[in-house]
Amino acid sequence: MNQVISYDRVNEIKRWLLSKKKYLPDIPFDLDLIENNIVDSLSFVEYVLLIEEISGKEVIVDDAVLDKVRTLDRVQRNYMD
Amino acid sequence: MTTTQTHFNNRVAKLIQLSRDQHISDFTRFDWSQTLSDNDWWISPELLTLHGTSYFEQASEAQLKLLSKWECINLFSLNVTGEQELLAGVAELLHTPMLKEVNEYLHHFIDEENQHMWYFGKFCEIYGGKIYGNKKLQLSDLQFDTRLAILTRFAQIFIFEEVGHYYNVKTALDSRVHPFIREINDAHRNDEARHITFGRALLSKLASGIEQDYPSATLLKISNHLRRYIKVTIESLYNPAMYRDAGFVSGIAIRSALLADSRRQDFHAGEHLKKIISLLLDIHLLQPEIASEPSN
Repeated sequence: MNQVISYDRVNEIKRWLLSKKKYLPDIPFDLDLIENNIVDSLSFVEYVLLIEEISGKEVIVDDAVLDKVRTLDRVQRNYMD
Repeated sequence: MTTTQTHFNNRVAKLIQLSRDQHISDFTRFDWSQTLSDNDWWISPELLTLHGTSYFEQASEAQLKLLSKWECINLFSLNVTGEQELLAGVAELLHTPMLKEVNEYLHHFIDEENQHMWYFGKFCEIYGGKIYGNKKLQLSDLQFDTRLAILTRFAQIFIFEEVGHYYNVKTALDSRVHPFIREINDAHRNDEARHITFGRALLSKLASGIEQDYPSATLLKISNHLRRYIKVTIESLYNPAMYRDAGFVSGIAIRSALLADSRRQDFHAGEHLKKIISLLLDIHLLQPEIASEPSN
């Protein structure tokens, strides 16, 4: 049986990002948030803290973290599933 | 040799002597069999991030004491992760020609900071069951020459140590706080007082004349960078995980509300950061026009 994936929680993160970048009409799930400067070094801490609060999982900030959180798809896969 | 140089060298020599005279092995000085409970004050209630706000007024003493436990674990965790980051930076600077005259002191600095990391980490593991992780990511693209790179690094150390020192001094003197926690804060503040004295002297010496030596755009870049470092350092005191561990439903919501609260902003801009900002302005590492803007 296929598992039903809920995007409710990652959508909360998307809404938060859109509230910070009001000029964006939308953020596609596969958009690179780092390269497109939607998350920068200043907002990265907030971004990670929000993922932790919504997912209930700890985000370990190490050399591999950027690849785990650089798109909403990846956040869903690594922290919300 | 100039009078200023002689004065600086004498001061560093005195600090080295004090480090040797007051050297105690932190690995054996504390009694780790002590018990602490959720009914103790782990930091002074006035130091809680809720203090001065409606959250503080609405909370029971039991809630505040539980939060004081997790705020203490957060402060000690910041010492572990923050010092780890800064120590790595200082270790890289050992034997740098520009720091030749302070090289010997840097060895004492690293020795003492290493011991601090050890006892703060041990405390967090024994009494909190964890060390709160560092969420900062180094995405800095700043390229400075050696002098400015050293200045920036020691300015960050100075900011980090002064911010923490405020909590150490207050907690060490507060008879309401559990004696074991006071003892740890007291041990730390004694070493940190020397490090801060050193940091002030080194920054003043290295920064002397930078307003003539560098274009204003470069100084503005450093000022913005340090402003950002101060902001991130203050925000790290409002860790959502500690609010959740203390039983609050949304750590993020409380953090956001407290960071936006003018009473909290006033506390940090005034009593907490006043001395730090004042020195950095005096030595031109912060620009006055930016210093007068409210942080956001």
